[in-house]
Amino acid sequence: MAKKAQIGTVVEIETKLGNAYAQFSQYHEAPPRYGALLRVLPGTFRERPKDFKDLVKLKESFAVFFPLQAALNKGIVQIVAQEEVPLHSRKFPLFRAGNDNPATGKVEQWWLWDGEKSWKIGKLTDEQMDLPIKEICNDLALIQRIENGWTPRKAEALMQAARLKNRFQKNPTAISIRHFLLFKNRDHAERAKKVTTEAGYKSEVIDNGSGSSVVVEQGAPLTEEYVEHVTLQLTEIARETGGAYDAWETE
Amino acid sequence: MGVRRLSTIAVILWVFCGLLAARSGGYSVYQSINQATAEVQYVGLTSNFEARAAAQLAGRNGSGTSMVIKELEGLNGLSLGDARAVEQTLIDSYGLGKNGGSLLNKINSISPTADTQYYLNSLFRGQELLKAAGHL
Repeated sequence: MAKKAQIGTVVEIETKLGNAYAQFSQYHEAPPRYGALLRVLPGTFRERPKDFKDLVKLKESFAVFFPLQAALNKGIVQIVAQEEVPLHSRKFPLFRAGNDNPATGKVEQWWLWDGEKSWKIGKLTDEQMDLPIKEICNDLALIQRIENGWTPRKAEALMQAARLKNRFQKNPTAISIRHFLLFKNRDHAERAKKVTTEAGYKSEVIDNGSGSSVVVEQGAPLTEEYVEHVTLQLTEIARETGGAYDAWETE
Repeated sequence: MGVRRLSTIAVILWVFCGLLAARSGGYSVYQSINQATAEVQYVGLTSNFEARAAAQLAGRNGSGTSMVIKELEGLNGLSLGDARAVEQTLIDSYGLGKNGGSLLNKINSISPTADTQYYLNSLFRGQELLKAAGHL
């Protein structure tokens, strides 16, 4: 049986990029118990740092629930230090949560959760995109997130990219992809079209009644890596031009 | 006689678990999602997410699936009957792997053949609860 983790415990997580570190900052006990909340600290390291005092003071890359003690007992992660949880992370954070639409993989109705109660809020504000997501990961998902540079803000785009990748594997005959970017007004959509054209994509603006869509065409090479890259790039362009990345479809 | 006794014990255990969960805040319905494919791979009930996630740790050899467990919002604190109704509705929606669906669940939560009327009533109830939670 491994040493018992306590609030403040820093653990080492092996990844392909080197060692990552996370601090156990909260324990959620009330049913349905989520257990240990990890603050995954920024960066990966070839060698274990001599001390963790400065590292734990940094803003975490993301926070996620994780079955920490079970992972310690199995030797999946190991305790490397015990440090005070910095002031900015002592309060139980507010989480965002929502049910994915099975057809699109997107959440249409968001909720906030304070560890005890949840309430509906509808759409997320830009600031709320950075809130941690109410979910619990296994070890492989945690490691994959660290290796992919996952953050709550990138979560939806990465999920869409994974759906797309999966669809390719099941339907390798797809010849092109159309990505949809949504805007409340046409000016923003035109700006996004200009940016995507400058980035080398063929795109068009379509009025959809309640706003405008920019439809961006992606052709070959339809490799999984390239599709993921394009999805992330378009998500960023949509955000910077005042819209949101919606979804994709294959032809 | 032996079978009847076993059934009685099973019913008592089922009721006991229900009462226990009700005391501890009821059941939540969750989906385990394969992070690499974004596919829902398991639908289940729990009153303890930490324990459920601990059971899905892959271990040091790294074999297994990158799994994220998400609670269905608006469907927490359910009675065992309601939770099973939601679970079965989702199982029907995603499909068991053995029937060509994406789920790794081995069996239905509620048998479609043992008591058809109960099964159908459960699906109606499950759909009602999922719709109220904005899931359908």
